[in-house]
Amino acid sequence: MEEDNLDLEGMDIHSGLDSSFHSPPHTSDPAGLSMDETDDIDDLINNVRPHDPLGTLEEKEADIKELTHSWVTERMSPTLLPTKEALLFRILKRVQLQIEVIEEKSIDMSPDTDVKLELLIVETELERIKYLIRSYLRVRLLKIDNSMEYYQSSPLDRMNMSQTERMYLNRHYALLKNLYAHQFMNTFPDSLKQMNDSSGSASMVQEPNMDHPVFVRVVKDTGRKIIIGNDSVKLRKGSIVVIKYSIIVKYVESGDVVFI
Amino acid sequence: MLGDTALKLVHDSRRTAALDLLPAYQEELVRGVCREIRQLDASINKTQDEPGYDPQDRVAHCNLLVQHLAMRRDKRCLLAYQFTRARRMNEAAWKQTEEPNLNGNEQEYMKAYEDLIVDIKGPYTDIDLTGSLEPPNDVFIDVRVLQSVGEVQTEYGVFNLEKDSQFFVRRSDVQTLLLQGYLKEI
Amino acid sequence: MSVPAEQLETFLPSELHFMAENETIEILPRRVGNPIKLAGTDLPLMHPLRKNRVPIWMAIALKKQQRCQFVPPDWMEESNLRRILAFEHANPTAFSNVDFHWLEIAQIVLTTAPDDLTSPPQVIRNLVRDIREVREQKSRQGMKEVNENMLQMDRLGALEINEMRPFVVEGMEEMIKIRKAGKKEEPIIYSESDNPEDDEDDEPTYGHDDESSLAVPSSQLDSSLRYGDRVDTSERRRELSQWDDNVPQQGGPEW
Repeated sequence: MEEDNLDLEGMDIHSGLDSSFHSPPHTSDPAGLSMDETDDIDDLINNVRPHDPLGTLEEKEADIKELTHSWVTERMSPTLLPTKEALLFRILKRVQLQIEVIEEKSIDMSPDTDVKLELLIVETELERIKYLIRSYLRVRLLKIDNSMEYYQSSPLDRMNMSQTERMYLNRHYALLKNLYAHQFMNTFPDSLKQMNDSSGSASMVQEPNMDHPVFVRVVKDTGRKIIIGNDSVKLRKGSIVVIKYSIIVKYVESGDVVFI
Repeated sequence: MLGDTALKLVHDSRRTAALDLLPAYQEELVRGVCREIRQLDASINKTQDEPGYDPQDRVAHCNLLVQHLAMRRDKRCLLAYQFTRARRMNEAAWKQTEEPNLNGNEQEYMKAYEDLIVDIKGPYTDIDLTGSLEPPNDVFIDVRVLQSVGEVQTEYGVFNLEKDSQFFVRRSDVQTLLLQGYLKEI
Repeated sequence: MSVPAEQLETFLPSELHFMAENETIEILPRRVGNPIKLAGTDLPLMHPLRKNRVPIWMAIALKKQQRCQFVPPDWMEESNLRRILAFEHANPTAFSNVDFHWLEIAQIVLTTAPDDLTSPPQVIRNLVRDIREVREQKSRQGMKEVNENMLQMDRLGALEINEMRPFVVEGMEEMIKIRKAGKKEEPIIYSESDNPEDDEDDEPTYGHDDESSLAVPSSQLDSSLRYGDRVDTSERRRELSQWDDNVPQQGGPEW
């Protein structure tokens, strides 16, 4: 899954994000049916309506599944993972289309209970999606905050950030540095003025803790076994294991295990 | 003793964790630690500049090392103290609440951080980045009117909230009335 | 901080419910309803008396509007819950294979659609509570096995795991610190088994005669949770290529 998305995820699509999502990076081919045909097979096309700006059912469900997965992973992994900006872009576009639906139907104001039900379902779903994206983005910002010094000096990790996140890191870091400077750093001798001080007994740079124990579930039978000292665990489908992130990270990346 | 003032700052940070609001900024203590750092630096320079200074002399070396470490410990305590406070300011900025006991530099920091939040919300207007971090439940609810409110305008039109009437409304539209006790969820 | 600390390494109970609501459940519509296009899925065309499988959050919304009734999952049948409870009692070191979100789903059905259960809700509620309690006792026992390397928690549900998360993490982190300060790190070996049977070898299956009536396939009901049931690797490590022996493990649960 990761590999398939590499092209899109690696790209900066920030230019699209502040516009109104008019150019989706991901459009589906119309099914190529004429209107006459579609009338006849109404039941059949409930799932694949041509020209549906929302995309097909399969696309929509796959995207929400990936978003939910990304949210859980981001919440539970000690490091900042590659941004899912392209995925967010697709979903946010659908959210916007649904908001338009609500606005149209609300003006309608008919006492029709079916319209009410539709609004209820549409709004409930929207609130769920909005929550997922909000929580996902906020936890990423928290991780950036917790290790600002580290990310400042790690271009490789900064590649995992979206354009907006990089802007946030740069500005927040500058603000904090400025605060330290005016509160006390300016009075320091020159040799102590830098932020990323690792001389002396302890480093002042807070790094993501790769040894943090994480909870994962094996989703693919790999036939692999991890042995540490006298302990061992077989990565059997369905197994749930608590283990250091540094040890399991390669199986997280390969998709053999997922965070829970 | 070396490091005593800095230790007081660490204690202050610890105490802060249990408080709802940040306590006043410890201007005096911070200045005291800064002074100690400068004194240590001056003392180190003086030792090294002395005519008889021998870098191979283990006593002199040890003396310098202790002063270097003390200086860095002081610095770490200052950073930790300020970082603890900065985190609380960040938190308040996200929650859109106030922190009344900030000093001038901190007020400036918090204001700028609030501006940063506004800017980062921009690309995601539809999802309201500063919104609740509790999952949504019951987007719509049934309410009974306990006390007449009169007409209330919502996205779904106007509701006339007469006592004892019941409505199916969006929770966010009536949240305030619920809290004020005009309405009751049923 | 942009996120409260309690939401960094763990989930809120409300978030586990949120996740459980993404699982699907069968509903029986009460009247005809048109399909609705949504952002992440669709509400299917609804016909009375024709079952649909929909996300639980959607089922809840429909139920609250009296548009459907729930078809509770099979495992929520009284007889199946009794079977699960009996298994939990009979096996001090094993857990039955329940749905990962079993507690959340049970709670949702009990609060949203108690009238759709085939037994009195109170009976179901008590059974769920009893199962939860006996499992909790066993998982507490298992916590004794926490060490700095790993802990296996097979077959525990999302809510059950989440409740233990802070203690397990804290315990392991302390032990990691102690090890770092003392001995050197243990070598980590990733081994690959060539034998396809290896995955099914070392655990006897829980033999159940009337498996057809079980809510969960009996093949999944074997006792595989073994917190402390460590494989004696000293001998095995000598023969890295032979992971596929069929010797039952030392110290495993007795059947």
